[in-house]
This record gives sequence, C-alpha cells and structure tokens, in this order.
Amino acid sequence: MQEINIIEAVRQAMYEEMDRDDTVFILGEDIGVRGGVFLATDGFLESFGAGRVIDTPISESAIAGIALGAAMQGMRPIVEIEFADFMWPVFNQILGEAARIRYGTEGKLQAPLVLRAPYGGGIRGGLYHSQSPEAYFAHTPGLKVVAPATPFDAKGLLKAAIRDNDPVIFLEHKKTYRLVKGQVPTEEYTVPIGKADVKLEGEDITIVTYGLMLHHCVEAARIVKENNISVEVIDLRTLRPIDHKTLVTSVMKTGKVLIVHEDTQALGIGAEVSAILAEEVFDYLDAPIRRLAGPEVPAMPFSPTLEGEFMIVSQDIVNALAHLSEY
Amino acid sequence: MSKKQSNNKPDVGVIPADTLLEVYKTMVQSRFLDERVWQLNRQGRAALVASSQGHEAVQITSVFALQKGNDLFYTYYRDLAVMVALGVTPRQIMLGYMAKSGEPMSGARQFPTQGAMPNLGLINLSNVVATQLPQAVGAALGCVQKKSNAVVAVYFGDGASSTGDCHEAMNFASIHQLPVIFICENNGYAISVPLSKQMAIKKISVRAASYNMPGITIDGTDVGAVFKSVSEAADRARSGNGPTLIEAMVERYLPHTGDDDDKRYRSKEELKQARKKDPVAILKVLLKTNNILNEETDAEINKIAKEKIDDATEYGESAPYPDAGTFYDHVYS
Amino acid sequence: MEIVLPQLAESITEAIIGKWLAVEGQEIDKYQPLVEVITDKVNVEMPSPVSGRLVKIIAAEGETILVGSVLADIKTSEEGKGKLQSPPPSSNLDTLGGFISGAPPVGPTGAANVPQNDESKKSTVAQDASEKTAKLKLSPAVKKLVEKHNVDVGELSGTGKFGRVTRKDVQLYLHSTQGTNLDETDDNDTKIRMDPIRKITAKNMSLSAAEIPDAWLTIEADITDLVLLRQSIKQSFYSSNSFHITYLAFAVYAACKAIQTHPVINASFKNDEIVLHADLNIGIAVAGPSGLIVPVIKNVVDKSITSIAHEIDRLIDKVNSGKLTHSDVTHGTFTVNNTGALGSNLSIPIIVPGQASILTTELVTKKPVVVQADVNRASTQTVLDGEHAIEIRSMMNLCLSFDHRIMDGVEAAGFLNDVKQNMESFSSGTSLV
Repeated sequence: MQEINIIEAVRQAMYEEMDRDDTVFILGEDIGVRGGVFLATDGFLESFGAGRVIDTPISESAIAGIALGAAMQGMRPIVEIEFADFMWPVFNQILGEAARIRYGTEGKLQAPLVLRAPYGGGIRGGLYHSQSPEAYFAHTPGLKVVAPATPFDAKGLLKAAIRDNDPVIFLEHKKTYRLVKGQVPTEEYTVPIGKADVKLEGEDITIVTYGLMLHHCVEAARIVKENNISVEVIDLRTLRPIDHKTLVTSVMKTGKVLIVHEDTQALGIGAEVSAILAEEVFDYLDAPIRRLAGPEVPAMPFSPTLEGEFMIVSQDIVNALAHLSEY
Repeated sequence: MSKKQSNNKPDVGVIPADTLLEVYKTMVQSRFLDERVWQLNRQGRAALVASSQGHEAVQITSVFALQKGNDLFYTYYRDLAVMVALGVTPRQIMLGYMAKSGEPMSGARQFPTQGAMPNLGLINLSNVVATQLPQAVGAALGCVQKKSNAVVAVYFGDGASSTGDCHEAMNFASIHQLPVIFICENNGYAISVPLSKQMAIKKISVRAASYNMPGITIDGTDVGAVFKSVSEAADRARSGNGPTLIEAMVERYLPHTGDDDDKRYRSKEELKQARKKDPVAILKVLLKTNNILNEETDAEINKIAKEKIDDATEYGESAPYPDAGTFYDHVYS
Repeated sequence: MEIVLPQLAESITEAIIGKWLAVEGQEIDKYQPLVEVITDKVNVEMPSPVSGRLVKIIAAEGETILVGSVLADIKTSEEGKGKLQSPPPSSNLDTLGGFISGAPPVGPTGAANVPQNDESKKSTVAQDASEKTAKLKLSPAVKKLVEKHNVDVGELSGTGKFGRVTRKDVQLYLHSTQGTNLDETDDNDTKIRMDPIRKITAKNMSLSAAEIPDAWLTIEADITDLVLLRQSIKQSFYSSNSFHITYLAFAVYAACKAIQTHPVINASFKNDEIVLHADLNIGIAVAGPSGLIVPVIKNVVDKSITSIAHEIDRLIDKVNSGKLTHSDVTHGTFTVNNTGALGSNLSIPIIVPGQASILTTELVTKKPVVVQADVNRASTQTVLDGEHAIEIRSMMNLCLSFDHRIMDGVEAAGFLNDVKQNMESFSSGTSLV
C-alpha cells in the first residue's frame, strides 16, 4: 500500500492506463509541457511523447468534438478540461453527440472517451473556478458520471473509466487534490463504476454524499458518535448510474436520511436521491428526507466571507444530524 | 496597413507631449500597483493576481486614443492597466485584490478587477476566455441601434483567438460593419501553451482577411504605434466603416497568475530577453530623449505613485469583508 | 476567541496600544472599533473581527506588542453553545483517507502556495415543515410496524420531537415481547389477522414486559394426598354439585389463604407507590375459543373451596358460550394459571399489568421421591436405609412471577412456600365447604 493524495492518484491512474494501452491518449490545455495546471499529467510528455500528450489551443468545444471523433475510430482519448467552469462549451459535443452515438447507430459506433475536470470550491476560486457541473451531465442517459472522494476510489475509478466503452465524465474536487490523502494499493486494481460505497457503518441515520463533502460527513459522523448518534455514511462515487440498492438497504436499516452535497440544492443530485428513496423505501422512513446542499445563487463568490456562506463545513453537518436525530 | 512599426523610433509626433506624459504617469502608477499586488499575493494577503506587466503600453495608450465616458471597454483578466487608465482608483483596485466590502466592480464576488463599472464604460465579466468577444459585438450592435457614435474596444489575448466565440464574433461584426476594435494582446502564451501550438499562422492579424476586415500587427510596447492604430480604427468605426483587428505584440514576463510556475515551460534566458520589452522603461527612455521627462520629474512621478499605492494598501487592509447577509442579494431583479 | 494584532502595513513588526475603545464586559459588534493602535507608519482604529462580549483586555494602553500577539479575548456566541469538539485526527489513514494538515492548498487558478481562507460558519439548520404535526402523524416506518404487529400506539409514549412516536419507540416496545428482527419481511410468510382478543392480549403482554421488572421462582409441592382426595370425591362431588372439583379450585384457595399472610402479593405498583388492595379478586387464565382470557373470581377470601370451584365452572361456561361480561374480566388483583393442564412442567408466566404477581400450577406427575421411611406405608415404600425410602409421589411444580419493584425474593418465596404448604395439606380430612 502507498499513502498518496488525490492528484497523485489521478496521475497514476492515467499513467498506468496510457502505459498499458496504446490507444489511450490525452489532450487538453497546458497538459503537456506544463504537466497540467494541477500537475495531473506531470512527466507524461517525456514518457509518452507529443503524439499522445497534446497541448491544445483554447477551444473546449473543439477538443470535445475532436476527442469524440478519435474515440469513434477506436481510440480512447482522455480530455482534460482545465476547470469544470469551462465545460459548458462541451455540452454540444458531449450531451448532444457523444451520449447518443451508440444509441443512434444501434451500437455500430461507440464513444469510449473520458472527460475529466477539476470542480468544486472552497479555494477562493470565485464565480469561475468553483462550480459543480455534475447535475447537468448526470441528467443525460448515455453518459456515465463519476465523482470520487478518496485516493483509493479516484485511482480505481479513473482506470475503470478509461477502460469503459461509454463516455465517462470524471469529476475531481480540486480542494481534495492535496488536502485528502489515503491508502492506495500498489498492485493493479479497479473500482467498479455504478457502485456506491458505505464508508462508515451506522444504525440511526444514513448520510448520502459525494466529493469533498464525503470527508466532512465522516468528520461530522465521528463527532456525533460521541453523543450516541450512529451515522452510516454512503459515498455515491458514481452519480450516473446511481446505486439504488446500497441506498435502499441502508435506509431500510436507519429510517432517516441526510443528503449532503456542495452543488446547488434545487434540481441537484440530492433531488434525484430523494425521489429514489421516497419511491423505494417510503415504508421505512421515520423522518422526512433531508438535504443539506448549496444555496440558490448562480455561483460561488470570491470574498472569503461570501464563500464561507456558500461552503458547507463539518459543523453544518453536525447540526443537521443532531436535528434529524431529535425528530 | 500590416506593416510592423520599427522598434527603435516610436512615432512621437502622433501623440501630443502632455498626453504622452499622462500616459507615462498612468503607466508608472499601474506598474507600482501591479508590483504591489504581486507582493501581497506572495505574502498571502491577496488570493489571486494576474499581472499586466509588459502589456501597459497597449492597454493604457489605447484608452487615451479613445473617448473615456463615451466608448465601451470590454476587457479580460489581464487588463489591469486598462482599468487604471479608465480611472479605477488604486483604492478601488485594492479592495478587489483583498476581496473587501465596497469593491466597486462586483462587491468582491468576482476575482479582482472582474465585474463592471458602467459609468466608466468598463466591462470585465468573465474568466471564461473569449466570452467577452460576442458580447462586445452585441454591445456595438446596441450602439448602432441607439444611434450612438460610441466605439466598442474589446481586449483579448492570443489564447482567446482560438475559440469559436472569437471567430463567431469577428464574423458577425464584419458582416454588419459594427463599430468594434478587436485589440489582441499577443504575448505568445496561453498560460503555458506557446503560439506554435495554438495556430499554424505566425500572426493573428492575417485572420482579419477571412472577415474582410482590416488587420494590423504592431509592436505593443510602442506607444506611438498603439495610439495611431487605435485612433485610425476608432475613426473607421465611428464613420460606419466597420471593425478592425489590431494585434499588439507584447511580452508577459511574469507567470500566468500567482498560481503558475513558468519555470516549467520557459527558460531563464527566454524570460531575461522578455524583460527587455518593458514598456515603462521604453517610454521613459523616449520621454527623456525628447526632454519631456528628467530624473527629478520622474522621481516625483514615482513618489506620488508609491504614496498612492501605499495609501491604497492600508485602505484595503483596514476595510471590512462583505457582510455575509448580502449573500443572496441580486440573484433576481 | 483571541484577538491578535494583525500586520497593519508592510514591514510593521510591532505597535503601541493606544486608547481602548471598549471596556471589559461590553458587547461588541463585528467591525466595531476596538482599540487604537499606533505605529511609526500608521495609526489605526482596529475593528473587531467578530461579534461577542469583550471578556478580557490583555494588551494594556501604552504597551508595545508584536504583530501576532494577543490583544484581547472576545467570547463569541458560538463559543457559548457548547460546540461539539472534533475528535483528534487519526494518524493512520486507511483507504477512506481523510484531510491532512499542513497540505499546501491549491490556488484558485492552479496548484500553488496560497493561504487558505477561514471557513466561516453559516447557520443551516434545516426546517422541519411537519414539526408541529409530527406528534399526531405516524411516519411510514411507524405505520408499517404498528400494523404488522398490531400495536396500540395510544399506549406508547413517543421519544421523538414533540412526543412523536418514533420507529425506535415501536421497535423497543415490540422487542420486549418478542425479540424478533421486526424489519425483515419474507414474502413466503403467512399473515394472520388479529382479532380483538388477540390484540388485547398482545397489548397487555407487551405492556407488562415493557414496564414490570419481573423475577421468578419455582417450588415443588407434594400433593399426593390431594390427588388421593380428589380421586375419592370426584364422582360424588359432581353428582351433588353438577360441577367439577379441580386442582385449580384448590390452588386458588391455597393462594388465597397464603395471600392473607402475605398481603404484598395482593398489590399494585402505581405512580411510584405500592398500593395494597383491600379486596382479593383472583383471575384464572382460561383458554377460550377466541384465545386467552382471564375471568376474575371476586372476593375470594370469603369463599370455600366448593364455591370457588363453582365460580370457576360458571366463568368457564361463560367463556365458552361467549357470555362473559366486562365486569367478569376486570378488577383482578392476582392471577392463577393452570398451565399444567397444557402439559407444562415449568412456566414463567407474564404478570398481568396492574398486578404484583402470578401463580402457575404445573402438571401433576408421579415421581420417585426420597421420603421419610414410615412403617405405616411399607407397602408403597422401598426402604433404602433406616431413615430414607423411595416412594412414588404425585408432584406438582408451582411457579411464581413477581414484580420486583413491589417485593423481593424473600416475600415471594415466603408466599410460595405457604401455597406449597397449603397444597400439601389438602387431604381426606379437608373440608370443602
């Protein structure tokens, strides 16, 4: 086992897959000579050459379309969008095209591409370097959407995503890049897409979460344990498809649910999870389903007092758990 | 029209001497401010900085060639000197870098220098590259519809020129002969990606031909060249003869932002050469040569600039952060 | 919260404290000027970074202090709320991993060393839309359990918000009677609808189990003489009375007599008090056509064995014909259950809610017993040594569950012993009337 952070886990995953499979290549802004603005591709240009590590002009829509074209011809491109806030131009090629390539050709063509981007806030990123785009992508059948929280999951899921024959949106919370470290096997392994993970077992309340919030939820769960509130923390890991079974099994046990995510609450991932639970475990609910999520403002502001108003911290989750426990 | 100006003899005759001196004073102030925010960033007192050092001549002189209070200025994240030239004060700028309450462009909701001050005609909305280009063209369309003689200057870097937005904006502006001046500050890098990896052409200005629009490449550190080309473009626009593309060659001798490490993609030698294209130093020499400036007057200009920046720094430090109670304001009307 | 001297300007390393603009004990607003700070470059009125109460001024007027030193202590509202402390971070990271301290944070536009912002707290207590109706409404989970196990929710007190009955409340209630994993559903199981009697029984048993801390003891009674007595009078008794004489009648009589010397057996635990009843009404457990029912023989003290037997007969008749009245089943203060009739050797009965104890009479079995050698019974004894012999005796276990709030083992055993003595005393010489 090795103890590494998220950016290193991402880097290792891509390196190993590029090493293992010649059809894997990577394109994006600043990923070559600079090694990526977060150093996700550090050393790749030297190892794999300019043919497979391509510094692109600033043209997100084109990069996505180009990757799609290459994927349809049997390659496995990884596209790095420098910040999730710059992903909107790719909607045309990804939501409108990549997601339906297989469906529209009855499987004659497929789009095995990975589109990865750093997302999320709490790093003074302001309106354009803090956004969470997952809900838009997760709404589109034909795509898979993955958002790991731990280095173990990040490496395993990215490898799985690169090997997957469907287009995968792979989102990395940038605040966790260096802040979160964990154990990761040195041997070959993958983590399956589409499976949530019970990170902490408990009896009284189920938390459903993903991304940076996972670690705040774990912190909060450990705090309330001292007050005899036993919390089960589920890390969704994959946002499309959502793992109904793991969620349902947990809520049948606990009867109380708190969904926590950084992204805006209305029409976010939590809304879908709430609907699933209301539909499938209604009889086991001992309290209304609760969401603790991002506020109704267009994006995360820059000033620290305003950013602090947006970001959820462990104390907020502790408060919500205490409140739910009393119900 | 695409003849590059000579490096050695800036065309002083184009600009009146007192305007030139004003340009210089503005440059010195802008430079002090820029250096100060870099220091603050290194000390952890300013979360983000993107320098305009190396770009000051094209940014400031272009403003002087246009009509403050009438024309519109669509800028991007590296245009600090444009804002100083437009009249954003050092105190106001410091509030932005320190993310304090009272910041006039966005209330510190945006990155420093980002937001808008409509009374100055200044719009610098996004970090998403090139989004300002179609918006600027739309603003020009609005000016025409309102029968105003305002011109819209839109500033962008070489990086932005690769986007679909840039092509679409230039295409539309030229179809409708809109009063736009496309000012491309070409410093040869989109963060770390050099020009050779961004385009197969050597000069961006050649693209103007695809839109049947005049295009010119100038030395962006030559205040005379900037003043002349922008004035001509403004005349063209105001007389209904459509847009112009001005490509100003400059050097960015600092990293992309405070978060960038340019040693990863630029050699020491290259950076040393780049610093030689310092527009403040170049203009100082020009002014001295033409007896518009001497050591004492220069020292005085520097002293005043420093005092202003020191005052602005203290002002920023003691200002409060925005009240979290304002968080939900202005989502809707 | 410690208020420190910030870096007021470049190259400032220390400052002189001028005038304090607030006093100890004063409530301070955020940004309210707190103290004058004097340096050679700048004099400022330093604003308070937080709201709260200025509990202590630490830097004195005129004192020179270094940048970063503590000026004062302000108690913020959050500190007063007894905030839960975060447990210390684990030093061993597993695959779950976690936050590490001292990590160089990422910058807004890339990976670089920039200072992290303070994470200010925001109040995000989610609102319960249904708080006020929570007490009245049953959640889906509660409804499901209540219906499945036929719980009378009105009997339960809820521990949830505003007295809401929670899923846990129901589970605990049920667990005390059944101990099953109530959340499992197996589609192959058959569901039986509970009739009113079943429901009442379920309710009472649950209540008893939930509320009464019960203990139990058993004693063996040698009722050989009673057996012989009953054998000999059975026929003639029935002919004379038209109802049977049963062991139960003797047991009720025996218990009644024993209770008179152990009044605590005839008591209730009410509102943290032990109430001794004036009347003794003994209920007898009957397996009726619809289920267990406990009709009550009123005022047993005055009754003879015959009249007790008569009452038993009368009540059982009513049970079988469905003619029991409300008053027939109420006001019981003690209960006897003839579990022996079911073939039981030992049973642990459940105390009827409101009563102090319950007695069972188990199966009468012939057993070889060690007895005193008696020459008069030589024909039925096998003598072992001079003193002891083995004889076939009719033995009956008596079991008693009792409420340990009301009495201890001493009283219970004393009572049970008396019952045993009484049962062993019934013989051919006993008067039944």
